[in-house]
Order: sequence, then C-alpha cells, then structure tokens
Amino acid sequence: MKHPDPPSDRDIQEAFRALDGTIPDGHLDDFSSRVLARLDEPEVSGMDSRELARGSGLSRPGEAALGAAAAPTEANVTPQREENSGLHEIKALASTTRRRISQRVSSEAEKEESLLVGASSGSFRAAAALPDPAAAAEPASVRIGRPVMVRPASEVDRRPMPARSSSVPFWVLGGVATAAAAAAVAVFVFGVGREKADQELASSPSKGDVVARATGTQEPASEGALAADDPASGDMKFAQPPPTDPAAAAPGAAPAASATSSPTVAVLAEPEKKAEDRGGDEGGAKGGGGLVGRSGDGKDSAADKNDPARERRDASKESEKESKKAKPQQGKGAAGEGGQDLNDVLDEVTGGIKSPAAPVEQEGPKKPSKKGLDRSDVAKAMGAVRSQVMRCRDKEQFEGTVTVKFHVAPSGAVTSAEATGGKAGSSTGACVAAAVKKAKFPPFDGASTSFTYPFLLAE
Amino acid sequence: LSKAQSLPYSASMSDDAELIAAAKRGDRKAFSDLVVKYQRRVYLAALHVTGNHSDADDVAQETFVKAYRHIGGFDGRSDIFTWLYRIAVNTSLNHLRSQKRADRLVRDPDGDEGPVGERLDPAQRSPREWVEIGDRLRQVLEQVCELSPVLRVTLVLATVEQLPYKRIAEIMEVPEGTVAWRVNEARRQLRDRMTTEEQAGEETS
Repeated sequence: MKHPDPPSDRDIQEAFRALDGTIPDGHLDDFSSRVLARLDEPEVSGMDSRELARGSGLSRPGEAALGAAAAPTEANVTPQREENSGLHEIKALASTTRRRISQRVSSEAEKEESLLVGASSGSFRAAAALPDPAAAAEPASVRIGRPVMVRPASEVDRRPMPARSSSVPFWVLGGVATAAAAAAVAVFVFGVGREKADQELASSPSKGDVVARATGTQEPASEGALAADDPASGDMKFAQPPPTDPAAAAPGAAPAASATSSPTVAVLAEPEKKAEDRGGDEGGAKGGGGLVGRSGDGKDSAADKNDPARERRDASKESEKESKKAKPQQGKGAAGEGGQDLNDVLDEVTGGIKSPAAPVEQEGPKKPSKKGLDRSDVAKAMGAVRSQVMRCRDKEQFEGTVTVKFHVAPSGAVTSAEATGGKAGSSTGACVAAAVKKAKFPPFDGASTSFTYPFLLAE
Repeated sequence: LSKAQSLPYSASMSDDAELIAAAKRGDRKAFSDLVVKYQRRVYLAALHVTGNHSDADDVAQETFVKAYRHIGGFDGRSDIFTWLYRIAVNTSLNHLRSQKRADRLVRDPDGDEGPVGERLDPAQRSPREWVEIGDRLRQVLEQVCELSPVLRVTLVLATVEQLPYKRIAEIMEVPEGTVAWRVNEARRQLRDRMTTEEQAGEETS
C-alpha cells in the first residue's frame, strides 16, 4: 500500500501518536524507582561521565552554532578513575572503540552528521552541566570537561592529533617559504642568465634569433619557462630531474626530461659551450633542428665559414637531423622540438638546471565528487527496492527480519547479495537478496564496499 | 493528544521550583516527584527520537540520572522541561550515534573504511507494534526514522512536539535558521524517498 504524497505534518503527528500508543501498559509505573536505583549505581556514574566527556569533547558550541567545521578534539581526560573494576575499563574501551571506528568514516554526510551530533553533545554540556559555569555546583566527583574516567592508552595516544594537525601549517609555511626562496634564486639565476644571454645576443645576432624564435613559437617552452619560475617548483632539490625514469615525471615535464637524454641535446650542448667559450657567436648554427637551422640560414658570418668548429657543427647538424628523424616524436611536432631548444638555452644560462615538473600537472585527474556511500545513499537505494522486498513477504508468507549482505561496486551496481542470519539459504532470503541486487547506488570513488542491511518484513 | 502532551509547554514552573530546590539539597523524594511528573514526556521525547521502546527506556532513565547529577547547575532560567528535554534529545542523539557505530552499522571486518548503511530503527520494533500502528502510519514512521538523527529530531520537535523554531533552536543550540533548514531538508528527503519508492514500485509493476 502506497501513500501517494509525502507525509504531511499531520501524517507525522498521527504516526507518532500511534507510536506513543504502543507504550506497554504499566511500562512507566516503576520508572521513577528504576531511575532512583540507577542513581546509586557507580557504573551509571561512570557511563554518565563518559557520555559527558563525549559531549564536551566533540565540539565547541560556538563553532557549531556558526556552522563552522569544529574539529573533533578529545575531551580533557584525566587519568583518574572513579572505580577500579575491570568491567568499567572494558566498557570504556568498547566506547572508545566505537568512536575510533566512527572517526574513520569520511564521507561528507558523515562529517556533517558528526558535527551536528557533536554540536548537540556540546549543547548538552552547556545545557546539562554548564549553563552558568560560575553558578555551577556540580558534584565533587564529576567535573565536566575533565571527567573522571579511564581511557585506553590507544585513545590517549590519539590526543596529540590536534598538535600534529597544528604542525601542518608550519610545514606548509616552511614549504612555501622554501619554494619562494628557491623561486627567487631561480628567477635571479634566470635573470642573470638572461642578462648573460642578452650580452651574448648583443654580440651574436644569430643566437638572439634562436632565443626569439624558440620563445615565440613554442608553447611547451613557455610552459617550461613558467615552470622554472613557479615558486612551488623552484626548489633546487628538484631542479635536476631524475634521469632514470622520464615516465615517472608529469606529462608536461616529459619533453624536458626527454630533452635531457635526447641525442639532439647531447649534440647541441657541446657546440654551445664552445660557442660560449669563444664569445658566443655561433648560436644560430649550434641550435640544431629545423628551427635553429633556419635561424642560422643566411646569417653566418664569413668568419664562421673559416671556423674549424663549423665543420663539426655542420656534422653535428646533419647527424642531429638524422637522429631526429629516427627518434620518436615525444613532443608535438615542431613545438616539442622548439621546447627542447629553449630548454637547452635555459640550461646553458642556468647551469644545466632543468625545469622541474609543473606541480599543476602533477595533481592528476579531478577526484569524483562522491568519495563513498553514506547512509542516505543506502537508505535511498534500499527504499527504492523496498516494495520488491515486501513482495517477498507476500510471496513467502513470512514476517520477520531478513538481513542481506551485499557488495556495491564503485559504479554503483550491486555486485552480489545474499541473505545472512536465520534466513540464509531460504527462499525468502533469496527473494530479498534478488531484490537488493537490483538496487542502484550512485557511482563513487574507491573500492567495492559491502553492507549488511536488515529488512523487516511485517504488515 | 495524550495528557502529557496536551500540557502547556511551561506548565507548573512555580511548583517545580520547590522540587528543584529540594533536589539540589539532595532530597531524593523531591527529585523522584520530578521524575514522576515528567517521565512520560521525557520518555515520549526519547521514543520519538530513538523510535523504539527499549532505547527510549534507556535514554529516559539516563536523562534523569544526568539531570540528578547536574541539577546543581540548573539555574532555573529556563523551564525545567526544556532543560530535561535538551538532555533527553542530546542523550538520544548520542545513543543513536553510538548504536549506529557499534550495532546498527554492520560492516564487514575486512571491508574498506568508509560510510556504511544503518540498520534503521523500524527494524527494532516488534511486528505487533507495526500492526498496531497501521500500514500507512508505519510507512510514515519508517521514512521519518530513515532520516539522519539530527534531521529526525528536528522534524519531530517541529511537527510532533509542535515547538516553535525558537524553542527548538534553544534546545539544540543552533540558530533558528538552521532549524528551519533542517525541517525543510527533512521534508525534502521524505518527499524524495517517497518519489523514489513510487518510481521503483511502478517500474516493478
């Protein structure tokens, strides 16, 4: 039987009134005596303190009221204990274990709920214990915020977590400062190099042509230059890319890394150095590749023709052309080659420092919005198949609880479902499991997740 | 409406003052009178949040135990029932939360970390309770119980207890706007669930 419309307030009221009517007769007759009996139980006091500790530790009411992310912090727990019974300690351990489990949950919904529940707990502290701290006249054995209880060492050990968290900004700041300093050094070196290059350009128009062409025509080269200026990538420790594994570098860094080991660069490097040694007027010829080769066309001076190094360069150029033909293109055609050229020029002026991988490109693909399934997802998916599950009740003429264990793949599909518990292997269990297997969950990031969900089959 | 719920929200404040003062002095008889006076309302509040009598009984008892232990901090600026209600609501939430973690969240020990499903409160009720409640109301209760504890509590306070948002905000110590958002969100989720279930029913039929 379906209720066609969402439940109205009146429906909800009626439902809860009906629920109120299910209180067993006489259930509250001895309620006050039961409460009074619990007042004398020391174990109750211990549980009470634990509850209060949880309330005082989960949130800061002000932050909760503002909707701020109140970082869960452990209560101020003194290693005192109100009683010395082992049972008490075991219960405390069980309680803290629950919280440890709960704190591993990391979906947005769970975070929100934790905050909200924490806010409620905080409100309890304020409401029940500390409406007015100055006026509070608490029993001497219980101090809110410093509850008398025993915590297992494992939980006590977790308490420094906020300190670890607080140290994160230090490292972040340190890293940023280091990166900024490295970037400044890189910029300075680059600037010096550029000055040096400019000086060389002033005396060597062919080389100036090389730089101008390389910079003006190559996007990857520009990216490489930017990467060199990137504060985050300016750490000199990473300035020399590991030569062993170019594939491990970010995609954007591949051309630079490949340039390091490419025969083209190897051929180009030596003539460049020699050109520098000579005062550097050989840039046009030493650049190599089609680009550089074009830059040198018609600009070689007559002196160059008499230069004994010219022959070697020409030979190098020829061999380089051949090697480029043979070498697989790692960049994007001419752009990749030009990028290598600029890197070579930069390497020359910066002493061989290669541009590190751009951190932006190391971030990888964007994460899916959903990291996992939360309770609402499960409830929604189970709600969607509930009508089918209830048909199993009608079909099997069974009333009771059927628990189904199922696995959900990251795609959101239920990969397997089987009844567990008392109805395992029964036709009712199989029917319910088959219904559950039709459930659809939203896709999520991560590994396949398993759930166990009980269905109450009742009129 | 039941007798307890038909009472004005802040009824008998003057009578309570004497009982509270005596209870602060350690008079257990006075505190027992307070328990008797408010036990049903507190119990119902716990029942509305937890959704089953077993948990409601535990929560109600714990509420009064906490109240007794901290009644010295009750300054009388608010209604005693407001104070008790706050304790009951927060105790219920903590109860649900702890149960959800330990018992209702059944998860494979070798599974990956992450959020898991909750065994919903309706499963806690006996078939007899369901029969008494009726099918349509059962469905409503079931859907309300599928809400998160915070949304459920807020919705119950607003619709069942019919408390004004301001009072709910005091009880839950959140801004009124948050209360309004939670109520709307709870209704939206109820509507979505109903729609989803309807669509699923149509597809299978």
